[in-house]
Amino acid sequence: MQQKRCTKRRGWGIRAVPLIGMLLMAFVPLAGLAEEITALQILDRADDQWDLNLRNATVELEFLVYRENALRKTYRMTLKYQDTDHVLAETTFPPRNEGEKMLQAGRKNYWLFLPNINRAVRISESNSLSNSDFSNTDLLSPRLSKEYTPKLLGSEKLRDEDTYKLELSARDESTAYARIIYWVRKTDYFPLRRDFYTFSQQLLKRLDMKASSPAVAGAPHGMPDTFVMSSVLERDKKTVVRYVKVTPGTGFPPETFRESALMKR
Amino acid sequence: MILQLAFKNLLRNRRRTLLTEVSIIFGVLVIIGTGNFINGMQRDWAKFEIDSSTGAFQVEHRDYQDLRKSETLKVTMGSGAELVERIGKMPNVRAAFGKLNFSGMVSSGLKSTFFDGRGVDVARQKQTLSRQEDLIVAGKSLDETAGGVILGEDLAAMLGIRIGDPVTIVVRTFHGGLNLTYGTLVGTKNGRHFPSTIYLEMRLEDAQRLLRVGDRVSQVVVGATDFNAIPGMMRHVEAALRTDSIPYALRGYAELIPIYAQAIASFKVISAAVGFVLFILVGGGIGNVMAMAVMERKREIGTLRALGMEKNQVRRLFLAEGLVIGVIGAAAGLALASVLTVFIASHGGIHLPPAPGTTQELIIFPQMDPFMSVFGVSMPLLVGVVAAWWPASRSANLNPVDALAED
Repeated sequence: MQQKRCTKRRGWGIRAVPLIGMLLMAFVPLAGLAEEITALQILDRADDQWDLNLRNATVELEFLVYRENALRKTYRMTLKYQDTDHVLAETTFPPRNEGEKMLQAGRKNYWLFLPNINRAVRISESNSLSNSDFSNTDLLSPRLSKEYTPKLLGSEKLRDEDTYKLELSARDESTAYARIIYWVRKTDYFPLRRDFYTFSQQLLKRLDMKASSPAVAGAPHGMPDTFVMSSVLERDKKTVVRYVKVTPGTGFPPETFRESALMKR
Repeated sequence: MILQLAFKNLLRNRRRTLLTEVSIIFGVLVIIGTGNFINGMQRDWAKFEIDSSTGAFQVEHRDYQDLRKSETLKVTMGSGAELVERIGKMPNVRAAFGKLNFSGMVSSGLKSTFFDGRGVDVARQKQTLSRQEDLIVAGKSLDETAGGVILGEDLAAMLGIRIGDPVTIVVRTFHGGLNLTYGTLVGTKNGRHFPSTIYLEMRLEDAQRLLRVGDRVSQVVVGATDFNAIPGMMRHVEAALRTDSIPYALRGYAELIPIYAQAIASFKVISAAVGFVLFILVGGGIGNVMAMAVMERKREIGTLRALGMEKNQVRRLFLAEGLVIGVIGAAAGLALASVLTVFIASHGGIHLPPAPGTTQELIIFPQMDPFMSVFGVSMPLLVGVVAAWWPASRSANLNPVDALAED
C-alpha cells in the first residue's frame, strides 16, 4: 500500500516535469510583457502615492521664484485637491495676487481667474504658472499614467537611494511634454525626479523632489514636499514649491471645481 | 466789356491789387501744396511699408483676426506652399510668400522673455519685400541656413545677446505640447510695424518644424508689380479664392499699416482746416479790396449811374473785378504749386527723419492731388465773387446824387 502510494507520487512527479517545462516555455515569451506591466505598475503606484495621499486634502504651499540665484518672488497658495482631474489653487500672498485662482475642472480643462478683472480665462496645461518654471500641469496634474505610456529603463541610484528609472512617452501630441524620464524610489514608490523633454527630444526642465525631515504636518512619511524645478531657459533660475501644511480628508462641495463658480467665491 | 473795365479798374491801384494777388497766390499755393504733399506722403509711406513689411495685401484665414491671440495656430491655412504658388501666378503679382505667426519664450541662457514670432519663406520674402532688408539694424537678414534667428533690436538688448550668440526658443505646438529648438542670432531688426521688444523671426521651415504644423501658414503676403493695380489685384485674388469656397479673407495695406488710415485722415482734416483758414483770409483780402474800391470810387459810380448805367451793371462790374482777382491768383497759385511740386519731386523729394527708434528715413515725392487742386483753384474764384458781393451791392445801391456829392 505504502509502496503503491510512493509509486503514485513518483509517477505524478515524473509527469510533472514536462508539465512544468511546458509552463515555463509558455511564460518565456511573456517576459517582455511582464516588464511592461511592471513599468505600468510602478507608474501607477507612484501616481497612487501622490494622488491617493492628497485626495480630498487641502495643501498650503509656498512658491519661491529664484532669479540669478536670488529669491525674487514669494507666493503662497492653497491647493484644494479632490482627485487627479479636479484641483483648485488659490493665491493667498502677495496681496497683489491675492484671490487669483487656477482651476483644473476635468482632463485638460484649465482655467485662470483674475479677480482684478473679475474674469475667468481658459489656459493651457503648458502655460507657465505665475511666471515660474512650473507649468499648470506640473502643479495641478500629478497623475502621469493617464497621459503617458511608461517603459522601464532599469534601476539606478539617485541621491543614494535605489530607484526605478522610467521613460514615459506622451500618448498624444496634446500632452505638454513629449517624454519624461522619471525616477521612482523603490522602497515606497514616491517619485524623486522628473526630466521633461520636448517633442524635439531636447531637455526642457528638471523637477527634483525631496521629503523634509521632520515631515510636513499632515503629510505621510516619506512623501516629497519640496519640489525644485529648473529650466534650460535660464541657468540661474529655479522655482521651489514647498508644502507647508497638508490637511487630509477635507472634502469639498462639488461646485468648488466648476469654472462657472470661480467668480462667486 | 465789363471784364475789360474790371481789369482796367484793378490796374488803377496796382500796389493794392498786387498785394491782394500775392495773398491769394500764397493761399492757393499752400492749399494745393499741402494737398500734393499729403498725396505724395500717403503714396510713398504706403509704398515704403508695402516694400518693407506688409506687402500690397495679405491673405489669411477668415477668423484669423478674431482668434489670432487665443488660437494663433488653429486659424492657419493648410497647403500653404500650394496657396503661395497659386497666388504668385495671378496677374500683377510680383511675388508672394507664406508667413507663420506664433508666440513663445526666447532665452539667452541667462534671461528669458515672451516673444511674438514669425516664420518667413526667406527667398520669396526677398522677392516680395524689396526694402525688407532696410529694417536690419545689425548683422544680416535670414538666409537658407537652418537655425538662424532675427530678433527685434530691443529684445536682443534685453536678453543681452549679440550677433552669433545662441538662443533657445520654446513654443506650444499646433497640438498643444511644448517644443524647443536652439538657434543663432544672425541679425537684429527695427521698424514701425512691429514692437521691437518682442519681435522674433526665423525661417518658415524651421518654424513649421518647431510648431509641428506641416506646411500651414498664417498669412500669404503678396507683392504688386504696380501700386495702382493693387485694388484690382485684390478683387481678382478674392474672386479666385471665393470660387474654391475657402474661408480666406484679404487685408489691404491701408489696414495692415499701423495708424496709416488714422494718420492720413488726420492730415486731411489738418489740410481742410488750413484751407478753411486761408478761405477766410483770402476772402477777407478780396472783400477789403472791393470795399476800398467802392469807397474810393463813389463819385465814379455816381457818374456811371447818372450816365444811365443800370444797378445790375454796376454790381456786375464789381463782381467781375473780384472774379478777375480770383482767376489771376488761382491760375498763378496753381502754376506755382505745380512747378514747385514737380521741382521737389524731381530733385530727390523731401527727406523725413526716421521715426523714433527706427533707422529708415521716409522720402516724400509730392504728387498732384486733383481734389485739392480743384479746391485750391475754385476757392479764390468763389471767395472773390462772394467777398465782392457786398461791396458790389452797396455800390449798385448808391444814390447817384449822393455819390456825386461825395468828397
